[in-house]
Amino acid sequence: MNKWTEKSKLVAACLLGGTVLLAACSNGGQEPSGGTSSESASTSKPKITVSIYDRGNVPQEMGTIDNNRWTQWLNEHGTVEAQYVPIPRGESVQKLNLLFASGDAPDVVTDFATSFRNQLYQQKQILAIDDLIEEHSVHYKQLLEKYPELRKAATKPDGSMYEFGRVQQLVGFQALFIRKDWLDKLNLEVPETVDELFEVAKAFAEQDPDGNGQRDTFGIALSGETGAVINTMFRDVDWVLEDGKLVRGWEQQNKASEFKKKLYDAGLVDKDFLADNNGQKAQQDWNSGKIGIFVGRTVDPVNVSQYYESLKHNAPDAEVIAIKLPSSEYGRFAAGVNNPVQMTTVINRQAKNPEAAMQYIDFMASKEAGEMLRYGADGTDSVKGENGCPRPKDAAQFSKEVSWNLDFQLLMSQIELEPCAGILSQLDPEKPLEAEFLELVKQNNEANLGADVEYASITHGEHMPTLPDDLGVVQTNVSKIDDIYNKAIVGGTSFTVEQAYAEAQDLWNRSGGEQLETFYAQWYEENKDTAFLAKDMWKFVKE
Amino acid sequence: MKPSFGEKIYLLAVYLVLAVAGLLCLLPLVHIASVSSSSLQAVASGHVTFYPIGFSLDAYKQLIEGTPIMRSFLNSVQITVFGVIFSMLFTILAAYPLTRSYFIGRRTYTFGIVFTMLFGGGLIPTYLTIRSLELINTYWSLWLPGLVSVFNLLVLRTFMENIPTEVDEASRIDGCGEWRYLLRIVLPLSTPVLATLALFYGVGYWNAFFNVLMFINEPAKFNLAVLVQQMIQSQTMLSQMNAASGSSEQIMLTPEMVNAAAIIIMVLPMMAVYPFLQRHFVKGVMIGAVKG
Amino acid sequence: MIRLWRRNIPLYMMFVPVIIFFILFKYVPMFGAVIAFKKYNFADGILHSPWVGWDNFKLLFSTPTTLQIIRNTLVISLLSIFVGFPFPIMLAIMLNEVRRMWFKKVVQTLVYLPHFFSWIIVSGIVITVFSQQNGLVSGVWESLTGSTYPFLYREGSWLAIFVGSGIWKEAGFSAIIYLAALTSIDTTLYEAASMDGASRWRQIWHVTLPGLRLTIVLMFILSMGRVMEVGFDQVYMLQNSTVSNISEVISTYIYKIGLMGSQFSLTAALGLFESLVSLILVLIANGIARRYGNGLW
Repeated sequence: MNKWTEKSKLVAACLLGGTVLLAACSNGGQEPSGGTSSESASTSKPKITVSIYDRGNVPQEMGTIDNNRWTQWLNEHGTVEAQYVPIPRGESVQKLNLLFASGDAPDVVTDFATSFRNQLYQQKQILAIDDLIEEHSVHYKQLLEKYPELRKAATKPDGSMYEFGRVQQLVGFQALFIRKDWLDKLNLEVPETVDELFEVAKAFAEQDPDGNGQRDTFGIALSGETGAVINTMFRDVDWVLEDGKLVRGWEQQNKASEFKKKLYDAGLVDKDFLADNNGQKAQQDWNSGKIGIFVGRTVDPVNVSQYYESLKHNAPDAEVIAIKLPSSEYGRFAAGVNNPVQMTTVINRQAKNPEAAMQYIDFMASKEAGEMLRYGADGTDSVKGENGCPRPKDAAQFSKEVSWNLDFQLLMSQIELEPCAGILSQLDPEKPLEAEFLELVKQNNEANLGADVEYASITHGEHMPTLPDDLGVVQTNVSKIDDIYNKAIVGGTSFTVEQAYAEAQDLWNRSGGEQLETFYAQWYEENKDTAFLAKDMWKFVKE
Repeated sequence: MKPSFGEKIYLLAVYLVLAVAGLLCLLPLVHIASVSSSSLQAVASGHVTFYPIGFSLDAYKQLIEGTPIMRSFLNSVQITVFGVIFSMLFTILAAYPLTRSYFIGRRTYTFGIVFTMLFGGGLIPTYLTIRSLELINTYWSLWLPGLVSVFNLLVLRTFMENIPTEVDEASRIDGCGEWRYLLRIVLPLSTPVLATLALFYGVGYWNAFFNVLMFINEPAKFNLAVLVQQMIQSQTMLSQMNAASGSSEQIMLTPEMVNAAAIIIMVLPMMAVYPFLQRHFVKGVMIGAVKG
Repeated sequence: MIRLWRRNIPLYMMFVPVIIFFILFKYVPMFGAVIAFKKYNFADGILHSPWVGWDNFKLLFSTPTTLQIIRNTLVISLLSIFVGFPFPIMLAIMLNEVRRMWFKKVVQTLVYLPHFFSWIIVSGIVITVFSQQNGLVSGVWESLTGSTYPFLYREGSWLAIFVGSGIWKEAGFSAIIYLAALTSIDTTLYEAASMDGASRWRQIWHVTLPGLRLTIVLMFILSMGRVMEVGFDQVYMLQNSTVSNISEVISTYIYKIGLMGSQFSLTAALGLFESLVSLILVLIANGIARRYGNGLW
């Protein structure tokens, strides 16, 4: 072998390596974007890109989340042509981060995470929208005039608006369910105070309310949302007002923990509740009729099967009511309610055609688009019911065709569609189960939206300020305080709430908790007149 | 030679331990299969353990009719088959030179490769690299960044080094070129480990989830793992996040039976493939043959 | 010398594509790690974001939690490695002893299964088995001792469950490598040993284990490289408040920080620290292995 052939071999090898990669590149670039060409009719309309959550729940014959009946309808009836960029719901923030980092982010970006949208604002990635709304919108401008709170919630520290949102009626979201049949059987009253709640739970656990001769029932759940609502009863919501100042509510947390510990020590709850990370076990126990007091939700038709259908199947005699949260020394509070003014959408600063983006948003916020997305086509998907509200013509067909389009409704102000859009008009009173659940929805709204209850926190979590980076670390570090208190709940005599309090305080001080305290106090002091607070939420209660 | 009494006891113990271990590992499959074929009520109440209650195959029907499971299945097959081919090819090309004692820079390269296992730039730079090669939204974005797994490379190298040097010398006298030596001697002698690595790569590509979500934009190109994970993992996390923040986001819940059915459909091919690979784990006949 | 180079040419023909791959997809992105020393923001990108020196590291290591988290990561991980390490080897050796092929195949397939089930599923099973109320193990425990034991709430037993579930899930899958390695052991060695009247035990000790030595060393060095990565899912799904003092690890901490907003620079700093520790451990492990002539490089 001479040198020449060796050399050429070497070159060939390099090329081989290179070509494999090159072939890969070119092939990749040319790969056709299979099947997503709805851009047929309207070439004259301005084009924009829009993010859309992908949850993998689009029925197969309906296409994909970025190309389906609804995207086609929206592009046909709107004034712009939107090309949808699917964002996986579970990893939405990560994916959007990548898109922003690479300059590929869509023109219109939607995400529920307040902290993410704030980050975009802080990094100057999004547009101020005051002028756009003023000059290029019709529907959204009207909404803004009708609901000035929308402006309040959208305004960032520099005084301009940056976010679009949707307005909904305030409704009871979480519900404190209690087994009425058990109360009756044991001759108990609906508990009005936390002490009575304890007594009822005790009776439920000890006096065999299901009558099977075994002590196999729990008085109350402690994991999942029920645990959080017990905290709410004691206004244990981290930040509370004291003499007009926002401070951390230690005392409240102590009291709530003591109450839970009392339940635990008396053996009224599932001993393994801390291992039940997402409350699934508690829900299964509720469904099988083993828990007397439990927090569920009454906001979506899916809640019927989640919290009621299986229970009735397993315990046909079960009778459920939704009650007011029992009062504590700190007052009487509402369980979880929805966020009536929810911000969802921003416009990318890099958008080539912000006016078109605005027009898209305006169309999505219109009643026309809202009704179409919510009810589907009149006559084919929905028909008018007796109450004058559209109702699915065929439930199975409706869920296949329409109900998965939820994420297209993030700019739909449901309040404009009332009284038809809420769960009250979506359930079918002809079906006994749904009729009973309707009652629960009504009871829950009465219990939680009245003037005699207070919202425990100063505002909905989504309207709390976002912490700067370094305080975010502090917050993460002190979040362990909840673990310390939980440990006290199951710690018996060896680890009391008092000890937990001492340990928590120590952690708080070592981690720089006072910085958080200063931040929140200052934020409240400066923004209490302009921020969107609980009193603003209650403006959205239906009279 | 007849086994002695002690050996009999010993073998009995081995069989017993293995049988118990096997049964323990069967549990999750039985549980999931039971959930996938039970009634909604039984599942929602947590009654299903290791046998179906209220037997029904509706979940499978719902899965096949209602979700793009067939499409994602085919995508998974495509990703896995090509991915394994590319990865095996490059892993072999990487491993063989590293086993040659006269390969210049061998130690440096080995260290340089191990180094990439320990240090990485994170998601954003990787994404930017793939993007600059215009590979986003193609399966090349899954195949190329994971072309050679350092772990698998080192495993292969170790096995190739294990091939007795007499074989090496023997073939060198024959005047075998490196390529021919690799193809004729080394690879045939490495079948067990090649089968193992193909399985490892295959499982990796089959389960690919996060990279698909990050690098592929069109849902029509998603694979089975994404479908399953979106059904289960994201929802669990979401409901936890919701519970924690009191957020009012509506969650579309997939019935648990459907989730379970999807898991079964995802795992079955992996179960089916494995026994075929096992046949390659036959005792070292070939080494003996070559030596003799 | 020229001869040596010439001999290397075909090797380089094979190896150059590999080098291109590693440079393009591993070393180029690695420069992204510089954001650990910057305050990264989208607008300026990786290159132009402002330098902040060691600030990110200072922020991380000034908090009391960080040291605890690093300690936890090391404890959990080293425990998992050292306790879990022998299981795949034992499993492979036992399978190797089995002469009935159908039995071997069935068991081999079964023990490989748990690898494919996500931690959500495994955690569900763990709770069913170990919960105080109606748990399978607790039932047995109660009938033996008369009282229940909170397995999931005690740090010791939780750690045991954590490590155990990891072994249960992965041992069968990891055993595959050793099974493959077993095939390369020269069968004549067994014949010779058995002629000498060596018992099964002695055969394992003197033939099988030495035959697996290289693989074992390799697996050990590689596991050192992953000491700092305790899988997020496993911890996240199995942890609960009572064990948070030992269960909070780097990956779960990063996740929690991420919920407050994506802290790219902070995460990168933590990642860099992780890598550095792994590097040191790998260097040590390899150094020891080299003493005995089995180093990776």
